[in-house]
Amino acid sequence: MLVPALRRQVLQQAKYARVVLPSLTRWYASFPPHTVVKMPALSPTMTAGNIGAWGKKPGDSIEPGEVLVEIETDKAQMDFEFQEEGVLAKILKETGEKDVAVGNPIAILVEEGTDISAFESFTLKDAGGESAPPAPKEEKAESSSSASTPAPTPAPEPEESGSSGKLETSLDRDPNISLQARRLAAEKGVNVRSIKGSGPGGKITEEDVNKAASAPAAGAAAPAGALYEDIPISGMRKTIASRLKESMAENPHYFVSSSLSVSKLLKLRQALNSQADGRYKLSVNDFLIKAMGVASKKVPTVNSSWRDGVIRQFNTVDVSVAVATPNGLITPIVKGVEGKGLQGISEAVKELAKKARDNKLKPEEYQGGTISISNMGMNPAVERFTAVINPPQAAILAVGSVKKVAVPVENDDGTTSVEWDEQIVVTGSFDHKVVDGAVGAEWMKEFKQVIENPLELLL
Amino acid sequence: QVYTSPSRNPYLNLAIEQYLLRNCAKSSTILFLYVNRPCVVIGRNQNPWMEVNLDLLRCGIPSPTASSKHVPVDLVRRRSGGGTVFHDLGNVNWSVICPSASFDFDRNRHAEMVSRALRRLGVADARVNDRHDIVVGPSEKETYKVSGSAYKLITGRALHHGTLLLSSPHLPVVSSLLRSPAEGYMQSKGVRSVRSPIRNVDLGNEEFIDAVIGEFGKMYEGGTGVVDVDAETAGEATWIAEEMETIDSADWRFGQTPQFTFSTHPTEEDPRPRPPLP
Repeated sequence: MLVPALRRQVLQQAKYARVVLPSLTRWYASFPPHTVVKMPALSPTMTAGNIGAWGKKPGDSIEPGEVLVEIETDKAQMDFEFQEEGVLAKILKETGEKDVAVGNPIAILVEEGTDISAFESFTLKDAGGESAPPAPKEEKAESSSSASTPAPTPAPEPEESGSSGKLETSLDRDPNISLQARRLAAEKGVNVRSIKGSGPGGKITEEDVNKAASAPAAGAAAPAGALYEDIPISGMRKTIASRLKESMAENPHYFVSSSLSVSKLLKLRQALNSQADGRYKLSVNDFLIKAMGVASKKVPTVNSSWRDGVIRQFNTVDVSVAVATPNGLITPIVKGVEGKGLQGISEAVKELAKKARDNKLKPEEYQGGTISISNMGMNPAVERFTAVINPPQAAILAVGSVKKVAVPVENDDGTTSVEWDEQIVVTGSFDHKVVDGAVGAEWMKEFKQVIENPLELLL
Repeated sequence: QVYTSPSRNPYLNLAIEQYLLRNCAKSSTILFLYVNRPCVVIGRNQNPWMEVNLDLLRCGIPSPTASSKHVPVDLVRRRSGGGTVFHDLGNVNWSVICPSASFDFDRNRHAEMVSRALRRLGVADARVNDRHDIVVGPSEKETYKVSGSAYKLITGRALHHGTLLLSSPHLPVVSSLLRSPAEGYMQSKGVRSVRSPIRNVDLGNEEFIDAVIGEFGKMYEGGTGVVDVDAETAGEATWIAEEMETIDSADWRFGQTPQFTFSTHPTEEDPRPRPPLP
């Protein structure tokens, strides 16, 4: 009599346990060594796909190059050819499953001779769980604030699990939610863990998901609209972020500023341009790049790169020119500046800038470079600024805008008066690992010399 | 390399297309143009019961010339993905097979090429939309689809094909043909079609074909001329004959439908109210 009562109690516990504690009955049996096959990215832009017909069933062996499963994404039908040998142990996503995100587990592969039946009870959770496909480009509708809530965090995913068993804690346990509601939650971008279930046994139903999805929107739906906008991070943004973070962390930056008198340079530029006849149109930037070439030849330490065990001092000066495109910052390279004339530099810069804006740069056109220039002179608000060195270079020149400055001048008769001079403030950022303070200052001196006396470019 | 097919047999034409995809030089780019007799073509992972009014299909559609006679309509499942379209003699299908590397960069490349061909022929507002369809229409709000695209990728090669509605006489019946009365009772894991209003471009098949060949020639210089596929010998080639047999079988046509449920009353998994039974 006691026994059924106890059993009922245990069952009761088990029912609640599903919601709160880990199920007492389901510890993980140890699974034989296996590889988790994940949804592949069959094209660079693919984020999720639908599972089509499986080419193999559990127990079938697979050779490299054989079609494992067909995948459809955005009207494109693709055969997923597996490139390794093995035996299919379990299919985790059946034909017809939609919107499986790239990277999510879809099947289990084992080596020849492994016991397949051990995997019958293998579930997605054993493979490490899954994450919803990334939310689509956000819209301006009222529901945008709910769509911008981050998708459920993916559970940790081991690539290969050893023969030791795993114990799951209650935190990793999937919430009690129906398949339908889970899909709906993924679609709406609602975190399933944050929803309180109202169905039987605390089960989360579609209604709950819908309520959760619209609730934050309702709150934020003031006449003004959403409170913030989550902008997805593009590949370019990620690259900029990681490289410049690395630069700041690895390079001890120090800065040398100089006010350069560019009156003579501007006059020379005007003179050359007036004779151009359409063959070229020189900009101040072209002169600056050329001057960088000259200074870098005179002080080659600055035209170097900190490598593993050596400092590579370059014999040519390849200047990376920072170009702002709608997508982000990119630095195409003008190669061999010391050997190019102003016209050559001007043409190269124009061509590279156009390609950058059209997103047509080839990798060799923006990877490399020995020194950089970043010119904010076209923005009159910027007097001077400091730039971040592009790894693995050792220096970058930050150019401010031209300002008219009053300078004292000694007249022939000994009196002093005031003249107007056009000046730019440039700030060089140097990597102290490679370039010592005095060396950086020396470079700046050479640079200033050439800019203020541009005819010395001929020397 | 450009190929055209004189045959109107959709199974043969699709088989030839697959043959070209699988057997041509890995670095080549090929244009294949063909016209089919009236047929409804569904995507690889679609559900014919949900996408097509099979009853209407079986009866055939009214002939444009003699309204009492009926024109038979085939039901074909193609190997590429995407949605359901209607083909007939006023619709030209264009197909570009190229290395998958160039495809990955730009899915719209060849749709743009066909748009250019249309613009050259005087259809000034032809353009490619976000779904890689070719549309015409005076404004963003008022567009009509004239071409839909689908893709098939295999190792190293990509196939992009599309339709082009030039002068189809059957447009009015297309919408009822592509609307299934069973839709409300079914829930499918297959791919759903996205409906769009359609329109004819009102050009002749020949001039369109010539214009597309022209644009293709401009894009890929050094073309080796147009080859008219000999339907008979093609049909006899073993690979093509086998492929034709496969896609003309009930097993492929219906049996390849992904899992779906059909129920006349709401269920737990599908609680939608059902439309009244006929």
